[in-house]
Amino acid sequence: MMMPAIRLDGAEAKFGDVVAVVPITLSIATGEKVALLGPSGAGKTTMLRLIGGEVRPSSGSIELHGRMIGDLAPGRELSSLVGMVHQQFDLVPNLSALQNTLAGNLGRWSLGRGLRSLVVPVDRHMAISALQRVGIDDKSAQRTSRLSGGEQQRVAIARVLVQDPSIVLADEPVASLDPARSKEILGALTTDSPDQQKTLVASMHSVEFARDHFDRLIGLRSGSLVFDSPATDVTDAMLDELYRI
Amino acid sequence: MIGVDAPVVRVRDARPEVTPYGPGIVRYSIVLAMILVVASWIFIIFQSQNQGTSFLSIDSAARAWNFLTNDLLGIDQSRTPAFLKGSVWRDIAPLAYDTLLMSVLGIGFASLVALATFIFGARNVMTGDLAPYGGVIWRLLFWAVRGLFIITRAVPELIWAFLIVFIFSPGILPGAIALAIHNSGVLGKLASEIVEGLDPRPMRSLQSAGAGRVQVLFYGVLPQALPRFITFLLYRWEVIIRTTIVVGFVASGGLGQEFRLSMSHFHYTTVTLILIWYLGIVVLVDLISAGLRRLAR
Repeated sequence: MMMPAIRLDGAEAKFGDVVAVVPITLSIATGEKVALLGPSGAGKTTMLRLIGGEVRPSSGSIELHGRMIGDLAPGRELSSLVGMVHQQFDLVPNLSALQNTLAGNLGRWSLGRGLRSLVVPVDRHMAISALQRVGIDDKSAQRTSRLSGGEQQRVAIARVLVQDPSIVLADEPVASLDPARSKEILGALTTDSPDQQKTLVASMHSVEFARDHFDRLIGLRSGSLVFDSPATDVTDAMLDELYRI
Repeated sequence: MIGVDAPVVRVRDARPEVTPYGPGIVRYSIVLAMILVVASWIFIIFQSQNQGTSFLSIDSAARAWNFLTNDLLGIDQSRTPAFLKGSVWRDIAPLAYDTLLMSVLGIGFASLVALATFIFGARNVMTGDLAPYGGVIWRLLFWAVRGLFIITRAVPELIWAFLIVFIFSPGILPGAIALAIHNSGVLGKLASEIVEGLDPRPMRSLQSAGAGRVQVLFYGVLPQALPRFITFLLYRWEVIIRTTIVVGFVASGGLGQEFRLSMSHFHYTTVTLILIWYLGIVVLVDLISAGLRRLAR
């Protein structure tokens, strides 16, 4: 069997006494498109942050492409493996959309190159083409704080396109977008680069959309796994159970 | 969940939030203050008779009136008041220029020192959640810089000026340095607190995009902190221009020194003229600063 892109082995997340994610064991293969479903507060975001190395597991372990996440050097190494699009507040409000997008390069740029780019943008075409793919290249010179919520989300996605990690984690990546645009953005996030297959794990609130566009659906409720099955096998009954008040 | 055009939430402000105490403490403070006022007046009127009531007498009112009209405004005097003589206006002009110069030098030095150090005085960057590699050395540096801010800020400009004239000969420079020392502490602390009040989420995102410590500083911290630092800097410049006259007393030329000399020589109408010049440059600085602050926004 091929080495999985992501492997959680009894990974648990606790904040003080509050358990956000109960110990979970699962594997996600390279190239898989996985949607996390579940009511608000189910632990979707925490699970993404666990995989992204932003939250340390209180017990258990997480491996990315066969390497323990704690062994990966933060910055350069981790950012080439995994990139995350947060739901909000991802961007520096005082920088232009272009600079925020270019920041996806910081893991591979030298320090000097990064500083130089603040004055005269380096690899500008890269950021412009990423902004084009999410449809807001016309706003590249705008201050990010002047963009709407949906536009900011697209800039954050453009940044992760520039970062080009093999695993993309996205927290509600299309929450503020219309269906046609959502489809395009998901397409951009899952386009494989020539040398590697992309793995995508995204939390989604639109069940229909998740069923249509993802290979595998994972249902979370109160931090534990309710179901984990191929998108085609998920029944309405399972979803009703997941979202039951 | 975010709606379609979720409002862009502004980064938290560096200034302290609304009082952490309940509304009760405000009410009690007001009552307590009123009791204090009444008690103080009772004490003045009944206890310290020889001093307290003379302060309110017709006698002292007359003296004040006399000082204002005869001395400061030069009414009923044989000589022409200094502020009506063009030649004295011209004599004072270079002193006003010196005072302005002193304030610009002072704020210039102060902001250089503050800019070079403030980042080391911000807890979140040095030891908090934005410093995943924080060690003992960073912690020590943090406390050293914070200590520096406290010491420079705790000693007022006037005292710094007293100390500095022992080293430099009197002039504009020692005054500017005294102003700079005190204000570098003030500005440094303010700037550090701006950084501590920044929303950490954009910085964490930069880290997960692969940015190292210095890159997070230049891409996340400085773009957010500098515009607000500039508004604080301009505000401190307004404060400094008001303090130059006090510093000038002890050390260092400008309007302050001339003010003290004119007072001791009983040239009261010259004092009036100095005050006019002084008000002029204070208003000028306020206007410039307000204009620049609008630009910085």
